[in-house]
Amino acid sequence: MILAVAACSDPTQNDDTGNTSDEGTGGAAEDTTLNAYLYQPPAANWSPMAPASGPDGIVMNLIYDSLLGVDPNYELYPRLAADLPEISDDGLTITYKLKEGLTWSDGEPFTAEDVVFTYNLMADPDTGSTASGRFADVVGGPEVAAGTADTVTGFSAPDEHTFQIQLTKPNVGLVGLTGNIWIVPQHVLADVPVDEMDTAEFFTQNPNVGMGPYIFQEYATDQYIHLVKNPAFREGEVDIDEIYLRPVTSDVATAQLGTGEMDLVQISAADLETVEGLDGIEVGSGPGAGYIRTSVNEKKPYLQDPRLRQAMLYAVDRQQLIDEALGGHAQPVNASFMNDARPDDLETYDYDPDKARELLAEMNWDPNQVVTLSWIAGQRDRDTAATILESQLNAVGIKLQLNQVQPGQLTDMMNDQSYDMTLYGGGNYATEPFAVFAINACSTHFPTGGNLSYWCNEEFDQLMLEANATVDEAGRYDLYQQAARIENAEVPMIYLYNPDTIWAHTDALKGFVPNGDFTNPFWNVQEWTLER
Amino acid sequence: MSDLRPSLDTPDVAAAEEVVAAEATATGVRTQRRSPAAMAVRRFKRNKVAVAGGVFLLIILVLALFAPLIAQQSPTAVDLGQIRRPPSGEHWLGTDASGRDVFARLLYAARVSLLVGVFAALVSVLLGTVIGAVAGLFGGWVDTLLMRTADMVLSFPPIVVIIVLAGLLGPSIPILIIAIAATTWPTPARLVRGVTLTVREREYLHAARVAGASRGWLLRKHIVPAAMGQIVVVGTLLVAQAILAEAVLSFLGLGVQPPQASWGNMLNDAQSLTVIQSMPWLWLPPGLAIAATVLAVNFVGDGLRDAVDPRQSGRS
Repeated sequence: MILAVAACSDPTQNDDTGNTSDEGTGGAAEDTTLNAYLYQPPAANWSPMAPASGPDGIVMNLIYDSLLGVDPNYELYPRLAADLPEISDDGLTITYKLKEGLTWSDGEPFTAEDVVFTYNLMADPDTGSTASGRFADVVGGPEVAAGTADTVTGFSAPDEHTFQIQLTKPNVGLVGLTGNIWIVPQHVLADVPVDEMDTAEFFTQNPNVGMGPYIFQEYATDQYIHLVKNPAFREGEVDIDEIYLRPVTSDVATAQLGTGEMDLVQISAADLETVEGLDGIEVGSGPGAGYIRTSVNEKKPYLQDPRLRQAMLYAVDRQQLIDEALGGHAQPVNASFMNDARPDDLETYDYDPDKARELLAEMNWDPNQVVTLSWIAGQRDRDTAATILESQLNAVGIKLQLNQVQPGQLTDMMNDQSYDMTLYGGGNYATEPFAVFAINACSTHFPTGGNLSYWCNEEFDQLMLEANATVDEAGRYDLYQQAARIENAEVPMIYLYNPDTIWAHTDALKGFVPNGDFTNPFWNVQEWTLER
Repeated sequence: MSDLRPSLDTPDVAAAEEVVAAEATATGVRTQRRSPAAMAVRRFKRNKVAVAGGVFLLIILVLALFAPLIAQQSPTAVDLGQIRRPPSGEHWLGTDASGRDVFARLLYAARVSLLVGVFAALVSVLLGTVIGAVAGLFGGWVDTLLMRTADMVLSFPPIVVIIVLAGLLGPSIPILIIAIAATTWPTPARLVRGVTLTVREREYLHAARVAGASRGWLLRKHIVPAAMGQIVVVGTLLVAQAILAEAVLSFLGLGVQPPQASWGNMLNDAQSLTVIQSMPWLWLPPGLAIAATVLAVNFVGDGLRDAVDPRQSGRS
């Protein structure tokens, strides 16, 4: 039964075994097809404005392009922009020069107007955008967010290849937070009413015009997403003709790697040894920039006391989870901030169940209060983490119940704020510390932003905003560190671990550079070849 | 799912009966007539495979009931220091991906599997008996309506229906029981209807009716007792089906929810390539437990059928 499930496939699978003929014999090269693992079924809304969804992000990274990208060192690099943007001395004008001569996949010319169009959509909550808050310092941004204006006056295109952002006050993080917005085609979407943008057929059914290396072809629900290469891609046509992204469980994906049905898979550390033993498979990893966590819904009266969340951290042996279940392939997390924004003196909440019980007793925690943890099952590491949370929280007297849900169900629970706790991961907090604002501020509660704990701390927000407006680097990081200390003490989320992202791929795939951001494995897909 | 039943070459029970009768007259000790039930028990006892199955089930039942006494560890206690360890003195069947004791989980899982199996079969049989008897007794459009509904239910692949139900209502043990019962009731219903149609025309039933017996009374006093033997047989075989269905659904993540153990979701934990290749202690025990238990239930069911209805002997 196990093997039957692992081996199940669909007819498209036959295509690629037929394509394994050797190339370079002088004859016409046959189609090359890459089968890659998608770690969850997509929410099937490929709109840059839609709430962040990792698997959909993987797709959008392939079909759309952005002004800037993030490389495996978590540094920004230019994509559609000719270079990193110029910021004026007063910090109030950001100017992007765009690469010239680019066209959309349907042949229409790409101009700065497309960028202005897209950024206006992102700034307008009516489009379903959860990112409007990021443009609070842009001239005209708050008006659009409030619904009193239609377009942001601060976005402009002085000429065809220049995109300018005018600010009301310096905002250091803006480039890091908005440079990688996926640009969508104005000529396709101009006629869609703004408030119908989130359900536009283009985004939910067929986003088949883009600037990315691949063109969207088809989504066969829960089976695969089919992409074909974009001849108009800015760096020229890519080498691999087609990509199938297949949402299966990590176990099945790993097994399929062994059978050759899958070419690129993100694997669990627990399977590392087995996969390394497979013939013709290469393994590479990168450090993560986000982390696995559970949000604790503070809209629920019984989950509001920070001592409860502290107790949860003390109750879970996170270090051993990392050492044993993840084979050491992860880093401990005690605040969302990374690198220089993270102070050295944070409370580490080392495993101490007695301390957890003490805190619970102190706050009169009701041991009969049931707390439900909802998550999308199917990734071995996360499932194990959920099991361990359940056992170790119950051990100190928190009645945690596990609830496996489907992606759609979780979206519903998020929309009506009905979950107690939800386990998820991702994000990039290494490139730009201000990214933490989107998951922790009072003004970024879901769906306005990504704050799924509905945590709110005015002092934290103040420090973050001040830091983001501080041009001086030392002063800025000092403020971020102060904010980190507040977050660390209040524990808006149960930090679990920051996993290394481990990729395994067939050795026929050349040019793959492992990216620790598991939503962006294809960041340099134009350099890949598949030599079977 | 009748193909799951092993076809048994049971000794010719009718012949065996004659021998019994001969013995009885020869010794002359027991001259009183045995009740049909007692005779069925005797016939069952002569079926060695069925008895072995019964004994095996009894052992499983005892292990499940006394799981807390037998298992040294808790089935849900994780031990991060002991992840995926092979069998040892401390952990007889090793530990799983969260460091939980596989032996303890196996025993506690038996509770779930038997519970789901027995209750799903009970609900199914109860539902089927009532529907079948009502259909047979009332006849006419009631009969047509109920039996066409039964045909409809039978025409859907049960596992798909159960998956949809579990998906819609959320996976849990009660939902599992209801879903399994909701897809299996037509089998007992048809059987009971058949018996009812035969019994309905018997003189004693006419007599009872003339004497003023209500339909409910007829149902309780005559029809159900007449069908009881076959109901027990069908019910037993349904237990096996239900145990399998539970295992399949839990394997797919739609059945028993973690951290509670069931044989199916223990197998679910063992989908990983690493586990299949190098950690047989994680999938062999639950796999064998499912296979052996279902086989044993089927043996018992076949034995019961032969015992209750000797004419059926040898057919399957």
